[in-house]
Amino acid sequence: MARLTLENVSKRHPDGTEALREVSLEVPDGALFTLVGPSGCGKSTLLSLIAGLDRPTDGAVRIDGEVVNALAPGERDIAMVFQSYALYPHLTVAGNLAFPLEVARMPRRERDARVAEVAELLGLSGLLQRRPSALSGGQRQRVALGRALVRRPRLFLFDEPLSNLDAALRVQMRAELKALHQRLKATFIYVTHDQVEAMTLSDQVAVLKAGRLQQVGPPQRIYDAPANTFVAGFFGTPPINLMPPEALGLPEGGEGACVGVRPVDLELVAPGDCGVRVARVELIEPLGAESWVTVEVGGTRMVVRVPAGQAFSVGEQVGVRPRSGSRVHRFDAAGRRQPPELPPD
Amino acid sequence: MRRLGLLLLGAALLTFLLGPVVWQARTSLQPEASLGADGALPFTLEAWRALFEREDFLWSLFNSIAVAAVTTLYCLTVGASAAFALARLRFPGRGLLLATALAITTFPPIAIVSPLYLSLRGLGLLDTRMGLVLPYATFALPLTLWLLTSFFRQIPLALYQAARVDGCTPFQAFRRVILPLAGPGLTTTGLLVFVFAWNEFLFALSFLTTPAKRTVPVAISLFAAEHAEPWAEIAAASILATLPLVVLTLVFQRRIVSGLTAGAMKG
Repeated sequence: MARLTLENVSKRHPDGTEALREVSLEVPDGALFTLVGPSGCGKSTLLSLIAGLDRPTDGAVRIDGEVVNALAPGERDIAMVFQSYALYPHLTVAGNLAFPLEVARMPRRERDARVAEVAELLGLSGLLQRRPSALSGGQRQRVALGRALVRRPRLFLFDEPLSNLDAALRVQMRAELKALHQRLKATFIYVTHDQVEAMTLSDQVAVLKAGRLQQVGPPQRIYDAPANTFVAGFFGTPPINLMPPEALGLPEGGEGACVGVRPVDLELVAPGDCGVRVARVELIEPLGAESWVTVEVGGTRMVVRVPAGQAFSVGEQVGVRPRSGSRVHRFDAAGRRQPPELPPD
Repeated sequence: MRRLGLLLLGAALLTFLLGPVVWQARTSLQPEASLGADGALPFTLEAWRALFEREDFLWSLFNSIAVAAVTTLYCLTVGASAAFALARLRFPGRGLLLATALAITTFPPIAIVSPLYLSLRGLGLLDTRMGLVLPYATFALPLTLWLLTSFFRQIPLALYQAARVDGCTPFQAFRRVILPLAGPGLTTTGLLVFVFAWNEFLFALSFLTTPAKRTVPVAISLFAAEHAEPWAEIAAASILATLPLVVLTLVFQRRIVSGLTAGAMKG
């Protein structure tokens, strides 16, 4: 159980590249906090700084208020699950699970009890004498998780732990992780490049781009009121439509301004309806329960999510308009949300 | 057709590599007088009997084993710690250190025999076996460093980081995780150092004077000094001197196979 605070944390690599710039964050005790962003945005670097595997050039990392910048990883009472699992290949599953406890010189009796308990929890009891090379991907993932759990640390760090699993297993493990978090009530810090993972898992999300924090908040809030066009485009499948206001016949917002409308907030109607823009259907992607239809209006393309009942054909003329009561996000020329805050409902 | 070509190439290579060994073995089993003679070859163990009667030679076998073993042990101990630091820890001048180590190996040994002689005399290590270990280690360490550094770099960084997060100090991470995984690298490097120390001739000849302290290469070269050249005995001695290397290689062959990190990572 721990609270993590980052104060103006910056990281410059020796070659001069800036990996992180003045990142300030507050992760409350017991949160499942996700750092999300495209590859190279600095999220893994940030995790290394929290773990103590690297040191910030500037700023402070605090755990429960105490500055830990100068503490070695082992002195921070944290555990980390690596993307590659990083299991010790020369040790058995039992050896891997017991490793952190052995290093901490825990008495054998207590150690064995802890290992057995964690193995039971993760369904590894039958595999204790196997080597990592004899395990499946999902089993390795569980051992990596178990090695973190066995120490009962105050902070858990996850570096894209699910990215090496196949799609079905990933969804299953995602749910298991969330259940585990609810059960342990520990603080989890989770790094991912997958916006769906960030949305589904987290209490709080921090979006990073090029080493800078873009927005922090609960995932729903970020989805409902993205702080800028980058965040708007990052969350949501299919991605939000960013276009000049004229494309939908909306009032202009000044030089270079644009609007963002999510595919779910658009609808296709008859081309003759009043107040609609006439569009041409370019592409149809059926998904069963719904279809994603790409239409073109005066040189602007946008994607519309339509229910499965509505059938269209490529080349057809349709009318497109924002659904009534739907949200149209406005951004200024620099891509910042206008007005910055979501108006109260 | 291609198979036949490969087979022929293999046979040629084997002949080239094993021919001299077979020739030496044959020479060692003939009476001195019949060397160079044509026709049927009489068989005798005379040379081998004579060889084992040379007390100095038996001592030289012991000396060689001792000097090579101590050199190897020293190089692996010092080299592994240093190589780990070079591979995993960040400190200024890493590249320079590796380059300097490489530069040392380019010194021709003959050029430094005299200064080394004076140094060893100053240290009181002249005509001692320890006095050989020191220059051997100096010459073998750069190779050790380079080989082990690259072996350590192949061990995934995440394993080291995982050990650190799990509470290890850098040294504990090295001893408990990196070292057990570096077995093949340590074995290969150790063998190379051992072979180098075993075969070295110039320093051994220059720094050791007491016959009972000589190493095998020097001892064999001095067989001839007395009256006649005892070719059969020299041949027997060279076969005997090769044996420890063959045995070592066979024993450790299994450990040289890599792939020990299988299962650590995804996949």
